[in-house]
Amino acid sequence: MDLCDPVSIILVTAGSRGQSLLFRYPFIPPCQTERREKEIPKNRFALAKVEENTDTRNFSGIKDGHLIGFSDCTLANILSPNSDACGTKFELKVDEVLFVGHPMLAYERHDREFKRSDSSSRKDDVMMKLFNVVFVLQASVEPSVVHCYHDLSKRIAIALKHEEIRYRYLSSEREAMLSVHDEMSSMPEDCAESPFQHILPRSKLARDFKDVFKSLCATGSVRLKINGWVNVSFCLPHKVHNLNQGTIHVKPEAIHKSLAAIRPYHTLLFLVDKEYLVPSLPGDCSPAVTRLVKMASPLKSFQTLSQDTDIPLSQVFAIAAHLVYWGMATIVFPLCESNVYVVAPNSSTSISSPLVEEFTSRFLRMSLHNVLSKFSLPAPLSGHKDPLGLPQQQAEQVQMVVWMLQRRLLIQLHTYVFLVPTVQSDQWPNSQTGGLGLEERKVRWIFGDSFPDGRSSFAADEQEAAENEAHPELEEELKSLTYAERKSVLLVPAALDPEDLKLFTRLTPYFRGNHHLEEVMYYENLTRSQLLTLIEKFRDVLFSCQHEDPVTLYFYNR
Amino acid sequence: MRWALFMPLAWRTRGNDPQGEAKVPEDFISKEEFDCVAVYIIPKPELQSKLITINALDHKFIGCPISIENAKYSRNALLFNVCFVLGPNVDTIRYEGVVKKLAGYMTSLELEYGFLSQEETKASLPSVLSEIFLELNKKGKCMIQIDEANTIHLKCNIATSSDPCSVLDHQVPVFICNKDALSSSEWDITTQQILRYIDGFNHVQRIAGEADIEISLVRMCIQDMVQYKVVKLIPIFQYSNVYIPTPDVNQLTHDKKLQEECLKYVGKKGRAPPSFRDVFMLYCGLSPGATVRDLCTRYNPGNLRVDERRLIQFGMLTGVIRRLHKIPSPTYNTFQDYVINTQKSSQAERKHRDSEANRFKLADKWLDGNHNYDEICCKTGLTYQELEDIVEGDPHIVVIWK
Repeated sequence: MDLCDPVSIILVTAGSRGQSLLFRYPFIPPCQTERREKEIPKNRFALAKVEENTDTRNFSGIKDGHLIGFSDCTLANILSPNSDACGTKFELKVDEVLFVGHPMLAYERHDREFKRSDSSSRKDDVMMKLFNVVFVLQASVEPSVVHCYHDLSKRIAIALKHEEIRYRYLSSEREAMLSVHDEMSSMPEDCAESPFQHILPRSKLARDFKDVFKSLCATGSVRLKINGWVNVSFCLPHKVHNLNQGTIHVKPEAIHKSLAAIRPYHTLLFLVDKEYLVPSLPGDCSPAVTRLVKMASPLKSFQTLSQDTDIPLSQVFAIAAHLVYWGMATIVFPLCESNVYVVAPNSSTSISSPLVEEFTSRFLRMSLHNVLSKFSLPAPLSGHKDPLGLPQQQAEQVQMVVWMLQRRLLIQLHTYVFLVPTVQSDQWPNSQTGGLGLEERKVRWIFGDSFPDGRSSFAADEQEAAENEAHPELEEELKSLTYAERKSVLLVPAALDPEDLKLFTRLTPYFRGNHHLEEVMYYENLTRSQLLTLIEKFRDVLFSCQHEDPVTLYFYNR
Repeated sequence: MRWALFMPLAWRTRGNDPQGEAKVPEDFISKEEFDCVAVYIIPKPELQSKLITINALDHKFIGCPISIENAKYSRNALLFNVCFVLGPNVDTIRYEGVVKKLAGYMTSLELEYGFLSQEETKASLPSVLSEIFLELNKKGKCMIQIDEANTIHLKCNIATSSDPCSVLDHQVPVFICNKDALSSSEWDITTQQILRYIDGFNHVQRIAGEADIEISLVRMCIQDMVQYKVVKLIPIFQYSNVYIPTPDVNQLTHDKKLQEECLKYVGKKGRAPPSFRDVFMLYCGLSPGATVRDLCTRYNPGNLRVDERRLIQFGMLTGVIRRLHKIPSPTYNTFQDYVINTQKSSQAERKHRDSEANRFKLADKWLDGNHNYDEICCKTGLTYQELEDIVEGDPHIVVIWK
């Protein structure tokens, strides 16, 4: 059982008939009391384990994924808080069991007065004061999971309250459930059936709760229509973004971070088939979503997509963010021939991994490990292409890369450029003091460190004098650089060409290692060859380094 | 952190509201507010002796209700609960052990000589609680002597709730804090014995061998040290290793402090520190497909006053670079094929046992795609080159770098 799966879902109300636990799922049939077999210790000299909490009569907590030991009466008591605590997060931890809910007053004070005067004829109504939809979790879950469950509980509570005020839905469901409880309690003692079993066919709300529980355990997403009227949809990112049999977990914080960093040159990569995705969208979703889903392709950037679908870029981003959060898609850089992919660090390479067979059945006569080993050495995608291959083989190659990206087996490497000065200098030249300042300033040549001190400072002096004469106006343009950087740049032979230096000056903000080549190309409208030529010309001061894009890296975390 | 602590002593009778008996600081919670959480602080018998945490009133209440039954008490039972009240966003795991332990102390004090029920000793309760409150907030631990026989020792749990990492035989522990600052007497005897073998280059198996200690014990000690963030585990250094930069390499250009630290760390002993440009050039020179040996022949770090072993070590410790592991894996299309083929090959192997002694040493379980070169070499005793020869010679094995 997964740690973030709920253990149980409980509905509690408090009102004029006291606190009562109306429904819980899953309910354990009372006859289930199997005796645990006595474990035989492996080593007969081993100390017998201190039998703590194993007495099932007194044990309460979670065992084998079931909540046991808490009577319905106790649960009703501890899960219906004081009315002051309503409308806020309810979080209770008892040893290893965590209860999360969002208690709500069924009626605000003025509502109640209104109702009183309105329905004074119906005196027999049992007033309900508050209700609480509680999820039972294991106490060791992460706080963000707890937060998500609270969110779900709150959504259900708001929907229930709305329906209660509109239609007295919850009250009537409560009546139905209570009547079952009454019937069962009047039955003879030996009748071992659970009242919850009988509630299920008689209450729509109980069936809804059962569905919520089942779908949370199965997929992590919930689509619920309370009373056939109010939509409640929810997704548990911890579960939805849990890929490759639990080898990759994407945390919601990581999703938010990466969504904040989407750029127009990125694109969507769908993790589910489009044929599956389109019907699964809710009926009343915006037509823009279906249009975008139909037009999207991992080869098209968001910008192209926005032009193709005639949807503003900001809306494209919003839809993409939505699809990513719901685990339908992920963000990648569009596939192109110059992309460099390597095997992702957390990918599973075990032969027993189910991905191996999935791959072979998807791409006939191909072995996943063979393909992965080809991607072990970084080469642009065009380098993996067989020059004598047929066009359909190339198409298959692209399909293969998409397949592996979907399963996070590959990760893209980008090239980042850093400006590192050849000259090291700690101070700016002091123009007022002139010659005196030069003595204080310590200019150290990296290559010429073995030179005597006098010689190196002499060289620096000379150099500076010469260069000040040569480029009086360019100094102004390189303002964003430090003194040492500016000096080093001007020392590069290519700096003599004013055109090159102009382009270089324009691009200096990108040479801090925060922007990869593709981003520079996008923002500055340059071709790859232009950019590479410039970097080559200034290679004395520019270092390039290949690593992953931090934005997409979020999706690979374990 | 706003938190306080109080200890209600309760009477289970109707009409008599339970009252907070001793509170530190005084009057931080009103009677109305207390009523709101009373059900969790003085709960039903079913929930007694359990650690109960409740979020309410912008606080977190953490307590462990205790009931001592005895005919000598006025209602045949004494109920009490020492609660800690924490801010709403404080992680309660830190205090769970403390609350449970304190409840145990109080129980034994009461059982031994009625500390909680006798008037004269009960009067000292507020001062004891306030001392615990102050000391825990200030130092995270406290030691209070109640009488000659009883002393309360409490310490907040500092270890994080994260699962302990596994320590593998081929990993190398490296100190991430100053080794001299660690006083060896704080550690258990086994750890004290292995401390001096942790030099940043010895792997776990060698440490066990040199210190002459059972390897599972060494693993446990190192696991503890990792948990307490004293050491960090990095892969064993070899010239055939491949490392690549991570996005954190940006830190190195922006963070002046890290730069200085780096230059100090990677420089050769007894010589002037290397220049940042050279060090950064070496880090950028790391790429998939280029081993450390390639890097050395290309740039000759010795001439640049850089010790390549410490360069890699610093990179791994700060996360500026990461290791690409070399994993031999079979190329069968399905798992069944793999199982069938390995059975066949192992039968064939038995015939040629003498001629291919190395291949025999290398059981097929090492080649299922889960184990990297380091692990296999360490477990089977093969050298890197011997393993490389086997893998190269077998058409059914490919190498994946990840």
